[in-house]
Amino acid sequence: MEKEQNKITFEEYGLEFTEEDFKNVDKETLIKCRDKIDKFLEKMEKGEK
Amino acid sequence: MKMELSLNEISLEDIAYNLYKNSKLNETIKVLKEKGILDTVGAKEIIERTGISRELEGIIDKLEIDTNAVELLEFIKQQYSQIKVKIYEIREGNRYTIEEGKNTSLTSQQFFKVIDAINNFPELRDDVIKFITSGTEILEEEKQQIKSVISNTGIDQNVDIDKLLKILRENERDAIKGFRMSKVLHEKEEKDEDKDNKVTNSKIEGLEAKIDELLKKANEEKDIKKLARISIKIRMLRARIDKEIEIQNIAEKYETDRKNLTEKRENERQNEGRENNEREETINSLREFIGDNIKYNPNSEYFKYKYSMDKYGLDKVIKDLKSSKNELKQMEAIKIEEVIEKMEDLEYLIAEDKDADKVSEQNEKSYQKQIKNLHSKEKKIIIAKKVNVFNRIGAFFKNIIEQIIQNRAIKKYEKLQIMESSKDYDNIDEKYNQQIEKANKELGRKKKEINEKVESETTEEKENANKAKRIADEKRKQADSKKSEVEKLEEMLKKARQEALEADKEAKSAEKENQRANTILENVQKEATKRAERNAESEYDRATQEAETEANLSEEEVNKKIKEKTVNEFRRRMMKLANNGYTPDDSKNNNAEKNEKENERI
Repeated sequence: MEKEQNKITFEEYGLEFTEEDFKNVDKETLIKCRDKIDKFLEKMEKGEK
Repeated sequence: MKMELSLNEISLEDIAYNLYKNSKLNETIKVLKEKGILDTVGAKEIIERTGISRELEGIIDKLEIDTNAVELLEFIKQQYSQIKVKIYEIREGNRYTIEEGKNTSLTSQQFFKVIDAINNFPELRDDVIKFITSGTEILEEEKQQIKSVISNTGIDQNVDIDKLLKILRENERDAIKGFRMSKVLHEKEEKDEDKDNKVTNSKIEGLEAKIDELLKKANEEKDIKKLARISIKIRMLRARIDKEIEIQNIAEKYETDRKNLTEKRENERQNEGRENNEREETINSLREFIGDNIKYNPNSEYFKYKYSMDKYGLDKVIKDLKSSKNELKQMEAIKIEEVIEKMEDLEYLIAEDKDADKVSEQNEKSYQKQIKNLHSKEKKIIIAKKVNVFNRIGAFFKNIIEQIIQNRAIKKYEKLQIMESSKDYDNIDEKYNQQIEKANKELGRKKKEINEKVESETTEEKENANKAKRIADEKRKQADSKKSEVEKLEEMLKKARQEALEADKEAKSAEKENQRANTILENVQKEATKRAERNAESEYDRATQEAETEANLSEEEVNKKIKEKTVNEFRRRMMKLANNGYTPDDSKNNNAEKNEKENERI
């Protein structure tokens, strides 16, 4: 992790995302991850969650 | 050919063969996919590592393979160099040969093993590449180093290094490609090792798996407060993914630019090489011709001696030979001219060859520079993307936004908690009433405080206002008095101006009157003068006649005296009239009286 503020921590679930997690990840995987997050957020906004 | 899919049984030959043969590749990948041991990324990586044509990528994309094949990939990664050699062997056979005295040949495997071996020694590699691309000399020490470096590749220790290097140079394209691929693969291997080491440190491997885990837990979350907090962080995570995609797009763009540049340079190199070869062939044939006709070469000692050129000079020698009746001698002249012409051509080509070397060197430098620029530009842009405004002020804003949203969520949550936990609505009302009462009290207290403050501030302000009013009144009075003074002065000034104007008018009319009076006076004076002259003349004539008649004696004297007296008297009177004012009537009367008296006296 190069900069402290770039770290995203989910203390509740014991998960932490650092710069290392993004290293050598191909574009297709990144797009797939983004789509999954979008689906989750959409669900939240609709109140399904 | 075997098509067994257990990793233990897949032979390198099978993989290499199937990867090389387009017709079989499709089938192989399909089967590998069905067995769940190959994905798109893996297939692409195999292509990249083995140097198979990029056209095959399209086939793999169409198959839409999405299963993991970590095991196979790892296996292929470990064995890539052998696979590469196998592919070259299948494709090329033992093509790297040179025939110079004793025939020397290298198999594809040996050819690339030599390159791989040299590639481990960067300085040596750079010098060998220079030799391959521009013919820069390789030192004897370096040749010995190459000999020892390739000792583990199974090549005969007694191999002629010069011939080996010549093979590399003659197959420049393959050699350079081999060096580049070998370098890239070594670097990639190191990176992969690093990555593998890091991944094992984490409990959950990979970004995707971590996100799956996160979203799963978030979906199961019952606590609204927690969920609100987490959703913010998930959005931040999404923004980070977006940024990463953007960075990869930039990297892809620059990679394409570099690839295009390299392809362009490759073509240039090929053209340069072809032109060099053609030129070299021509140079060799010219040298051969000149060598064969040494006796017609004016630079040779034989020629100089035979034709005594030093004595007569070349032009004279040729001229003599041409004018000779001997046909053989004439032929000699033609031959000499031909050799001279070929020598000139040779000189020109050698110069051109040198220039071409320089151009080639410049092109190479320019290419390296452009590649370097692209790298540094890409690096700069990516750094700028990573360290953007969001990052710099990120912590500050993120905290604020997070706090605001959290507070809202908490308030909402608390309200819901109250509603849900209390079934007695009266109690809720009472609670609210108490809160309202408390709030009203607080409001009253605040109002009172404000009023007191306003009152104290008002008294002070009033005093200040009165003082200011007094000062303002005084200033106004002063201003009024000054104003009336000014008005008076202005009135006086106006009056004075009017008087001055009237005086001016009067002065002008007086001047006019004066002028008119002067004119009248002048006219009167002129009239009086004329009249007086006329009267004097008539009186003179009359007196003269009377005197003539009354006395005839001393006529001349009398006349003279009378004339003098009359003229003098007339002059005197005229002067007197002019000096003392004159009225025609008075003058007339006076003159008449005086004339009478004078006449009587005479």
